[in-house]
Amino acid sequence: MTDKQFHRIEDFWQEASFLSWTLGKDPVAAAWWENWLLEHPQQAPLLEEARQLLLAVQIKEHPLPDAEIAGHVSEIIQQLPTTGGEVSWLNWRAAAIAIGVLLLSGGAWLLTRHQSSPAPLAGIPDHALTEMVNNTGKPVTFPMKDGSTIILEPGAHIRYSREWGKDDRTVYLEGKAAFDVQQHQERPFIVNTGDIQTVVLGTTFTVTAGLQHQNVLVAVQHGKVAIRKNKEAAKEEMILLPNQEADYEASSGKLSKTLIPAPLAQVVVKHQEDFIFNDTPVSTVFEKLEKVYSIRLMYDTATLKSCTITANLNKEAFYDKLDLICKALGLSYQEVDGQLMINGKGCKNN
Amino acid sequence: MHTIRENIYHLEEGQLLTCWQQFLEGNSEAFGQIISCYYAALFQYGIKIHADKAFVQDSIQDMATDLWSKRERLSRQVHVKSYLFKSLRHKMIRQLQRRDVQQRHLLLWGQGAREPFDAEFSVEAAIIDNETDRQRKQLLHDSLKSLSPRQQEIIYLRYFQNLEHDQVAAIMKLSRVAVYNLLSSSLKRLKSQIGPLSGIALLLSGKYF
Repeated sequence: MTDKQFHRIEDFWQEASFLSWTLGKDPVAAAWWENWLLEHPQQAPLLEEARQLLLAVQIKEHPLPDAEIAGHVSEIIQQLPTTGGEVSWLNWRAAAIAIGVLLLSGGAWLLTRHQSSPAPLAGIPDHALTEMVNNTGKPVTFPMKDGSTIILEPGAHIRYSREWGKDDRTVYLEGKAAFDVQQHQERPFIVNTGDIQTVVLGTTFTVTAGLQHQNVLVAVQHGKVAIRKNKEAAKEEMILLPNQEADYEASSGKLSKTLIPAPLAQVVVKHQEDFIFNDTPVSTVFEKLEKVYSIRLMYDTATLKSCTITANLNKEAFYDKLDLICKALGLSYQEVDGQLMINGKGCKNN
Repeated sequence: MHTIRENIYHLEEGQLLTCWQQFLEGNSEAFGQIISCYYAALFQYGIKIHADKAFVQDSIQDMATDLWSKRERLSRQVHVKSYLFKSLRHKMIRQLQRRDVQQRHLLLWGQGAREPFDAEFSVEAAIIDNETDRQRKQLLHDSLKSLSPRQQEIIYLRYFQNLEHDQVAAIMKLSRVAVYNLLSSSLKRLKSQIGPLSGIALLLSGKYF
């Protein structure tokens, strides 16, 4: 390419690196052309003209939201003819990877913080499994046959049975991933992470934590999740509601429930006046918070009976809202078992 | 033009090849990834062949189903993007020809094959503050519009979908030389009709250097 002559505008246009510089902003090509320009200063006007003409031309792009693409692709995948399909498998890498699951949109996320080597799956020969690995630097979206979507974070991989989607929707996950799960009551969606199992039934999520050496953090953003310690005979369940998280500490076997750091609104706040209060009884304010964030607030209604709030809290995040209310009324709150206990002496009648 | 929207389904080259091979072995999720990766590009391309959004999307779905059904006969080493583009183009044009046949009760096979394409060009010069530039802009716009569908399609595939000459040739079922010549003639034609764009270029040059 270095010997090439550029006499006409179209000579530039025929050059791939010229296009990737002008249109794609390719830094390597940019460096090459800047250097070329130093050697051919007399060509600068022609080069610039070739660039500008190319840059001035636009084509109409038709809007297509990512969510719509996801919908169409999952429809395509679901309607693929199933006959004669052989499912592939790959040997999974035995690399130690931090384990985590992220369940989003109608889900919960789960993150184990411990490193572990993936072990062969009990009772399931490796050759019966398909594996998808994300060895890129970015999250990769996998549309599944049942219409669910799995977004694998870099380094994460999932394995699942050849028969996946027929009776059973179990995936084995190493690393961190987000799940958007389609509801099928009779076919639970199960996410296995090492010893830990998360069972998703429609909008209800069950996370089962195993014992060995992995700490697990499960946070529910929407929906409902039950967590079980897998190896205990009595399968005691902890129910997680939206905006709650469970922290499982493997060494002590302790499972505790807290609120997630930044609770999300569970219902769409439609009207501007939704968090605008004007001499509003605090119980009404709390009810609204409970409804929107699905977080249980516990307080003594009798004590707070005469407390009212006048404020615009539309823009604040959940904890900022709560802090402002509590500060205004001289209240305090503490988190107990994933719920908020509000204490205070109440308000004097004006 | 060229704010390239980030593709959240983007696959690196190696990942794409792995997916393709897994797809050939029957992995529908890998196939889904490939389709996700190119869905937006295919959609934008398809809509330039025929402006009916639903028709384009149905065609992408049909194309994907066809590919899936014949996966055992597909090559392991392909340029995935141009292969998908070629398949979609073929699917859409056949379907459009069929419609023509039905509507006009004519047999059109092999004769006057319809290959519509509207790249929907526009010219956007950031700063235009005089009549000369306005006229040039209009001229460039008119010239682009006056290109044949084929010429528009070649420019579109080459420059807006960043495909190589031989990939464009494969998609449009032309020889590489034909693509080269068609491209060259379109560019010459554009240039001759517009004359130097130095006015616009001068105004814009601050933006890029």
